[in-house]
Amino acid sequence: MTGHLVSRLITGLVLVPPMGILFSALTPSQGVWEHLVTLLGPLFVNTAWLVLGVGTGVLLLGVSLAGLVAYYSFPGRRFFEWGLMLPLALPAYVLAFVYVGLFDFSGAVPTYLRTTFGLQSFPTIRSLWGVVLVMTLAFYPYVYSLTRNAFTTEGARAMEAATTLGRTTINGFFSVSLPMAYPWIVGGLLLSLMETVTDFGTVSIFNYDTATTAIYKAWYSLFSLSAAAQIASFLMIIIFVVLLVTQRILPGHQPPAGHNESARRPIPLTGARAWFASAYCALVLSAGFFLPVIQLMVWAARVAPDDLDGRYLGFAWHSVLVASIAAIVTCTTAFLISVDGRKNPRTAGVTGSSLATLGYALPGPILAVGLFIPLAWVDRQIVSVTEYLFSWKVGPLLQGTFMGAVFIMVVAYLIRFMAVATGAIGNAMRRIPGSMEESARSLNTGSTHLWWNLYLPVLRGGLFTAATLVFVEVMKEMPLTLMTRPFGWETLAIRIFEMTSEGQWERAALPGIILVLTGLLPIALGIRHSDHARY
Amino acid sequence: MHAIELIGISKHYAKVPAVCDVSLKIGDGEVVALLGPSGSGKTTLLRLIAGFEVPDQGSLRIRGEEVSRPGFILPPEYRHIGMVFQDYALFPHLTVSGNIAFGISRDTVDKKRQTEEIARVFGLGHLLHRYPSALSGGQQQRVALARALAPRPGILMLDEPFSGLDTNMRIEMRRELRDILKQTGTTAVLVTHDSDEAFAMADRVAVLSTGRLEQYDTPDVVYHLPRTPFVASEVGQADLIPGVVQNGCVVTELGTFQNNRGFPTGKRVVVMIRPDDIDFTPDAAGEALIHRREFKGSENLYTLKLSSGQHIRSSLHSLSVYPESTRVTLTLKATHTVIFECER
Repeated sequence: MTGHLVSRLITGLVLVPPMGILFSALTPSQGVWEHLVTLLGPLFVNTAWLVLGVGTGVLLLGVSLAGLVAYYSFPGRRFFEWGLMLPLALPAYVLAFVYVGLFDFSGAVPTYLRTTFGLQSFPTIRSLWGVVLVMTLAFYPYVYSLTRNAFTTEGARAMEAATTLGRTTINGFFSVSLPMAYPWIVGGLLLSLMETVTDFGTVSIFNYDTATTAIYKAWYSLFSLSAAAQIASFLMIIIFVVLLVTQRILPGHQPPAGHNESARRPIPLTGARAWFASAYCALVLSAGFFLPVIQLMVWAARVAPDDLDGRYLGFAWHSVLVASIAAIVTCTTAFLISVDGRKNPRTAGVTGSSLATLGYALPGPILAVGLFIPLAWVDRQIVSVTEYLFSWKVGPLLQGTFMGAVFIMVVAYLIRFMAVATGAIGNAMRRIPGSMEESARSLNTGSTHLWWNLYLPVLRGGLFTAATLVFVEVMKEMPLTLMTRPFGWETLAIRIFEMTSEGQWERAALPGIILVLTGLLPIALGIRHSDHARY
Repeated sequence: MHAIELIGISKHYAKVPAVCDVSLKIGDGEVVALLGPSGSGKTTLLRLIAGFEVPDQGSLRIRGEEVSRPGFILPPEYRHIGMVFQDYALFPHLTVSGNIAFGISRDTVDKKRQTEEIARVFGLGHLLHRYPSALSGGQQQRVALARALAPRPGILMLDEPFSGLDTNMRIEMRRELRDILKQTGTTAVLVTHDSDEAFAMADRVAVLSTGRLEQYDTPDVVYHLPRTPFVASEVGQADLIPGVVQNGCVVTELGTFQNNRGFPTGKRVVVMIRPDDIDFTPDAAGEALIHRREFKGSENLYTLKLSSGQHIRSSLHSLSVYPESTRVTLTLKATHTVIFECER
């Protein structure tokens, strides 16, 4: 019973940031409000364009690549099948600074074009199109992986049925495969768009102002928590509405149990078509992974002699330390919630998972601001109570102290990445049939025994997956770390932020490479993104 | 002209033979069952006919036209062969009427009426606007059949279509489907591992073992005159009683049988006895002993122990109940004698 209570409390923790923001938004401070109204309009227009552009981009790339790889065979298909997931290893902001570094006015490509061809006007990369291009390359794998999964399992069987009913492959694709894959495509699209809306690093590198960066700026340069809360409340309401609407319109049919033993063999492409298919996949993969990684390595090699010193060990150590703590805390919590959801399926399951999703949908700055508001209040209460009771003068406990900041940071990560962990663990949990639990109970096992001898061993794989994913996400996380870290404390992601905000792309390459290597970890371990779809 | 003609078809998966040199002719309007245990290649054979697999050797003709040979395959969509999948493979995003109408040609004038017509035949008239996820297993099965038959394919492939249904439903569906196939004159190939189903549905049964065609005959011939011990045990219960050829007859513990395969004198052979070939009466001086009785509802299946220790089964009317260890005398009532070479 205590386990139930604990898990409900932790699930409730997710509600703290939105509540804090709404509370604060209802008590606006003087002056800031007028300033915001003029500011907010263009910001939301910017965000809307971004959503539209990236949404279209990831749909086009993701679905076309998935269809090609699932239904046709061409040179390199086996490699592209998983290789097209590689861009997930690159944090979007790393891809962003590589592209800005390459294509900015003083970058390698325009300089080459100017000196060689005398080409003077070159479209600037720091535009909506630049951001859309980079984000599309960074986020299309979400759509790709989920859609390919749908195409190769249920889709393949249905395609066979369609051909026996006289439809050609192309016709069958549009009349059966595509509409059937609709829920997965929308799922992948939602993931991409969540990443787009919550993105902070990429848009700040491009100087493309969105609501997310505005929250950070309001907090950082105006030093106004309430101004930040105002913007946050607007964005939050929009995200809520979008989430609600999509959950309504998503069709109810669930992923199949995965019986693809007689999946249709891919149709061989020949001649020019085959090479065109290979070239298309290679182009996307080069633009989204190989070229940026090569550029990173070149830059890193150039600056390493000067830059690579003891401090880097410190950055890396900080990153690994918080990421590990966050991974352990988050996975333990997710495990408790999953087991609780199992025991109380009616109450815990639905609310738990949808609340966890909420944390993932909230942009880092909103989360940070939403945490600070109640924490600042708690701090003030502690200070005034101790003063009143003991007439001691104490400083704030949570804010300003090192341990307090680390605590806030870990709580913030916990809220943000709960969905990642519950997704992976929940998937593993579903593989324990109810009968297995009942048979364990009928063998007269106590509750403790059940935990140690059933849940933990069976969920070991799921826990490992969850821990790896949370670890990697925290390593990459920029805005939350930026806003909650102890003063002057640097991690790899922070280092990248600092270097890129000064336009020193080359010097950001070194921490960038380390993050890419970390990001390759789940892919190398064979953890597929489709295994932990987070919505 | 045969509806389907297989000539020396072989298919390997990564060097493992799935179908070995199978030749088969299926007449127009005939219903043929491919019977065999799992791994016997029956599903591969079905998929070869449907056009999902390319044969390594041999050729396949449909309605007299060659559609498959090594290196060439007419795609399934041009074969006009309907198919019912084991898991039904219904389109989840389409309603029942959408599923049924899917294969009906766009040029058909009365597409809607035709859809409703076939839905009515399969008792789906009231479910036209439901989605597959809202249907029971039996209803889904009916939609799968209706969808496959709606374009009037003339040839229908059925891959273990009734395996998802409970026994009563299965028997009812078999009967119903056979009537519809016969009324429409549809040629059908049915994959099954259940000999009862093969016998109930098919005009002819093709028994397969590890990719080879063991026998292709009408159900009663397959049952009474199996060509190999494998077929004998695949299509029903059979006991093999050892014997020796002497003076032009086969001499066994149960008596002498006609040496209808002309085996040479002294050859060791086995005689197939089915439980319904043998009767017994209680007799204190009898040579056999009742070892076990299993009550099967309409009959009692007795296992008898002969003096040599050999077991043999006999089925009797369900009302003739004898206790175990009763001594009995056996009477043979077989009309056919089936003799195989002794395997050892």
